[in-house]
Amino acid sequence: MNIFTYLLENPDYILEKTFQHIYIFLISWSFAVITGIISGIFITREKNKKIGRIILVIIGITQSVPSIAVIALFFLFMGIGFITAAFALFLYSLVPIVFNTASGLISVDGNVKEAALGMGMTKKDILFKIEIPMAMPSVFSGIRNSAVINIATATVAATIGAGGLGVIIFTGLSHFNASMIFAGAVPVSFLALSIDLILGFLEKKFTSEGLKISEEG
Amino acid sequence: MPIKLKNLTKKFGDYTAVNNITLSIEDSKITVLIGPSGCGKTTTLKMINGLIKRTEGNIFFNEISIDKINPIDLRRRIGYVIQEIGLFPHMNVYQNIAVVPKLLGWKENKIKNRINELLELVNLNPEENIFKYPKQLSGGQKQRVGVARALAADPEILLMDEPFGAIDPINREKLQDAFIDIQEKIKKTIVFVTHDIREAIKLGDSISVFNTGKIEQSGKTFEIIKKPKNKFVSNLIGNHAEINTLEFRKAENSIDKDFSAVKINASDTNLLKEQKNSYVIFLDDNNNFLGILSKEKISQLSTENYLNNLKTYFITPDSTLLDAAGIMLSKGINTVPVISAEKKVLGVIKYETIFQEE
Ligand SMILES: Nc1ncnc2c1ncn2[C@@H]1O[C@H](COP(=O)(O)OP(=O)(O)OP(=O)(O)O)[C@@H](O)[C@H]1O
Ligand SMILES: [Mg+2]
Repeated sequence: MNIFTYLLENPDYILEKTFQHIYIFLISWSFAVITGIISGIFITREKNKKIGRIILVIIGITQSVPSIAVIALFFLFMGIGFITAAFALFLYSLVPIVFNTASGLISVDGNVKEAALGMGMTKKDILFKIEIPMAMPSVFSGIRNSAVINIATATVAATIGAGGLGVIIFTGLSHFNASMIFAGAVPVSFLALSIDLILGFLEKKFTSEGLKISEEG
Repeated sequence: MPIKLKNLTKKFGDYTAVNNITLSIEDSKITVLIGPSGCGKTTTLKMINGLIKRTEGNIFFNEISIDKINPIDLRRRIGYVIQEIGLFPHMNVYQNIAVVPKLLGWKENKIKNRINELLELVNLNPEENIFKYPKQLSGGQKQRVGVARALAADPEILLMDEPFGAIDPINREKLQDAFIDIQEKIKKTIVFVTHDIREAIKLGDSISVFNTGKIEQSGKTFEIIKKPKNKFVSNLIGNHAEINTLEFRKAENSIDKDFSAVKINASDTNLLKEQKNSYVIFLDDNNNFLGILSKEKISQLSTENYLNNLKTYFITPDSTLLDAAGIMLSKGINTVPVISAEKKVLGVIKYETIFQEE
């Protein structure tokens, strides 16, 4: 028996688990992207500046909490099930998106915003034509980070009912079956890599050339 | 459009940044605000386009109070070049300049033509530069794009906050020269902030001298130079200001038509004696300039010797009064002829013209 045995003998089962994995990832992550970007925008608006700063500090701290702790915490309060797992994943992948969106928006040069205001742009114009396009690289780095973290953490979330490739890995672990662990881990890495590639492509498409040029060039 | 600032005051908390200033900004002219750092120049400018709300007083555009004008509309009608240029890094030159026209809903074709026209105006090659991003431009080019962007929707008013501040002296001179040419063409009402007195004298039709939130003196540029009201203003303009202004005054604007000219072949002693000016210009048969002689010298010479003793000093109409003064001082004369490219006498610059009150 070699490391590929399980992979080669159970393609249908692995494919099924892969789709489950993609399913929970897409649900939890896409909600996180939408909620994350909107919250990032919200907490950086002038009128929400005070709460925004507090939220950012809290989020900064949460970023250092290990995923396993988050999963455990949700298990304690919500029990086992798909909803618990999806909710935990949603919250955990929300953090980098909010953080990066907010810091991208905050770091837009005040002079640039002032010029925009002075030219007669409305607050809405400034948000959509200046701030968001300029924060794009940072927003995307949040989204990409979050996607990779989500896919990895979804593996752990199998322990509380997420389903997906984590199920294969954990079964393999409990049976000391290296081939089975491998059969779960390979698609996970493959998934993470492909999602990151796709997002990398989108990032290129949605980021202005002008922001990519280095100062020296 | 003329602008009036009336008893304008701005307080930031307890700190009074602008203190009860009153100022008339003339239509189609450049009004320079000058003063040391922190004296309230930028604050004044930002009150004019409503970026900063005044604490007291009022601002009038064509006698209409700023309160009666929608601030967004107002700003779209006022070109604004901020102290740090503030080009949008994610937009190329075209997109940067197109911002206000787009906000105003111009058609793409009209915008395109306008941008080409503006880039020509600020002396940037459209084809070469239209797709460049701010990071790909030099400091001077950025300034030019900043000016073009402010002019994009053909505003009647232009507010410029130290637009040439960050440029090296040589390129700054060039930009200033270009700017003077541009204003000749567009005739906008311009409020121009600087803390460089040389720039103020060169560009300003009028100057307002600011000091700690107050106006020390405002008036026509030459008035400020000739009659500084107090120590602060005279220190600011320095000892050589009068001489310095000569450099910025074109000879063509000070030409005196009251001069004496005779054809050298028709000249005889009696004719020359009748000339009322102390210098006589000699012409050839085609009325082309040959040279100049003082009446005193003429009286010492015989007719045949005029030609050999003629002084051939002259200046062209685009020379400056400093050039004229230089010739006067080095050659010990008080009249310099102004000669066109076709060698015709346009007139003279007289010592009194340069050094008298305007
Ligand atoms: N938003 C603000 N809050 C508090 N104080 C301010 C604010 N803006 C300006 N000031 C103060 O008001 C004064 C005038 O500032 P302003 O920017 O008008 O100066 P300035 O004449 O443009 O100076 P500089 O030549 O350095 O640009 C300064 O002392 C400045 O610190
Ligand atoms: Mg300033």
